[in-house]
Amino acid sequence: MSFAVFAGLACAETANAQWARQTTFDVGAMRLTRDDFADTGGITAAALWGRWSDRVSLIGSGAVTRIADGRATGVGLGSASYSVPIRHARIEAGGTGTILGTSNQGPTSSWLGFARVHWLGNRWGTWIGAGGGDVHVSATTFGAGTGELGTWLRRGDQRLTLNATTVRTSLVSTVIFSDETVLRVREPVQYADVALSGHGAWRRFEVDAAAITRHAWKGELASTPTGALSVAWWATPYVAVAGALGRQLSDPLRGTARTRYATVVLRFSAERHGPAPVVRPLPAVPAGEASLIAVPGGGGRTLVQVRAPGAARVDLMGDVTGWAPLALERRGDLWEVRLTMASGSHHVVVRLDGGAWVAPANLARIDDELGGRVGLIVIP
Amino acid sequence: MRVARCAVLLAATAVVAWPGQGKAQGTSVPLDSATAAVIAPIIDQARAARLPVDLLYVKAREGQVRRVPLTAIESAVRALAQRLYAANEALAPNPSEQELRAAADAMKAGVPVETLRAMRKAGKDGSLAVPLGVLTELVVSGVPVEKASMQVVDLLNHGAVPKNFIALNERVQQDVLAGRRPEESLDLRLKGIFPTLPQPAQATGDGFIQSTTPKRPR
Repeated sequence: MSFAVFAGLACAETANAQWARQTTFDVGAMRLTRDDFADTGGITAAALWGRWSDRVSLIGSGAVTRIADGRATGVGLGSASYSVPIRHARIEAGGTGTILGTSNQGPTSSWLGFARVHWLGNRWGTWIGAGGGDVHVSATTFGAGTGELGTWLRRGDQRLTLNATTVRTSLVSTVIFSDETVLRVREPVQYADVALSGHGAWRRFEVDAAAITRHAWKGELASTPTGALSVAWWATPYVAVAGALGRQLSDPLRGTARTRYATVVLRFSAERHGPAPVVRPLPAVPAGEASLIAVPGGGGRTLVQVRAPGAARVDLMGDVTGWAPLALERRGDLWEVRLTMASGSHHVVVRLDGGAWVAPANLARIDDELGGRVGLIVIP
Repeated sequence: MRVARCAVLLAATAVVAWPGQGKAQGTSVPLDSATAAVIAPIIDQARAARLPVDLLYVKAREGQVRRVPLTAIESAVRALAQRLYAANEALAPNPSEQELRAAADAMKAGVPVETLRAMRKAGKDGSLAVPLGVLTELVVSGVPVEKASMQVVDLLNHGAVPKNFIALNERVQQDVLAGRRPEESLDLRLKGIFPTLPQPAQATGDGFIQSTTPKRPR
């Protein structure tokens, strides 16, 4: 209930915000190996629903798995956060919840709140944060605290993230004596995970890779460096074949063990992926002028490209940005940004090197009733 | 049992990777108190009429960012509100915010309310946001409003969908940039669009489109 209220308030506050979307459904097969357990296979189905604006992040996901011996497991994850921008900083607060259930065991759950401060540049960002909450495992509830520090770099569709997360919580061991007395023993653990992860997209291919190492100073959770790789190939803009291979470290916050895995799934997306369709070439313009096209593209977003020969900086604003100036990113001889744009007509203007705001030369122009003219673009 | 737990967690966490990377850039500029006060009566009236007041706020924000005097902002917001009232009535019963925004642009370009009504009738329950946007672009590009209106309504009558309108518009805009007369380009490009529609019209040799829409008996 509180989550719904929070989400409703957040959405109401951001009626004009840009929303990015991700909605996928995976179904496929997996192979799992644990150090102290025989290999096993199974089938899995997973779904993701995510919506992000410049202030609100809402994520829900779920998965069900049935392994070879007939046992089944389901998990649901939810996350919500709200951000307040202050110049180049952004203060974010939110919470995450996880519920894990198996066919013959009670559910495991965790509820964590967090707060973060981000510093954002044009192609980079860094953040620091802390969180805490409760973990419920094997009929025992105990606390958990986290701290995090990270940074990311972005160049077009390629991104690199380095982050460190410290965790302070407990492990629970269950001992059953011959007289059926049950004793649950809590062992405090403290550790830090340092992860380097990257994401790349090249036409129909998307690749995610991660390397992680864990250092523990309380408890026996230390691990040698490990990694994971996942690849997706979009056969159509909405259907992909995806595979993943790697090792997952144990997660005391959710009661899961260290595992090696390999998966192959068919992925269905409600948003378009892969290369953006070429609608029309970006017209050449003389120095000092700009031309603009908007191409509906991957992830439900529209790629806006500007050609501005000789410009060292290009800004864009319009109804789609709430008339807030937005610095475009240079890619070769073009300037780009990806925006969520509703179907229909939109007004835009651009600014070259901090000069006057003008309508792009190739667009139809309409009087803005404010003494100027704006460029008109129509999004399908 | 933990094996299965790992499996589902793995699947679930794999798909939520990189959530923050999809975040939009840019932050809406809040209205200053003076601007908010000036447009407050207009907003109240629009809200009472169940119009999407966000469009009015966006117009006010545009004026504020462009450092336009308060009187000009008030005038622009009032003019937009009046077009939204008219569009809301013409596109009844339930026009979307995107349709109203596009209709307000079309009316600003000179498209009459009668055309909006005809488009709603021809387009039935489909969204008119794209057809209205394309109509506006055609008109501001130089196609006479009567001709552009008639052809857009005719396209809707023949089952044209947004991708048909987008394709038509792109070809006309390319022609205009290349120096062709807008009206001439529209005639030419319609010949390529109509045969692809669910209810194709017949193009005659003299550049006119012979509509196959059945005429309603008077």
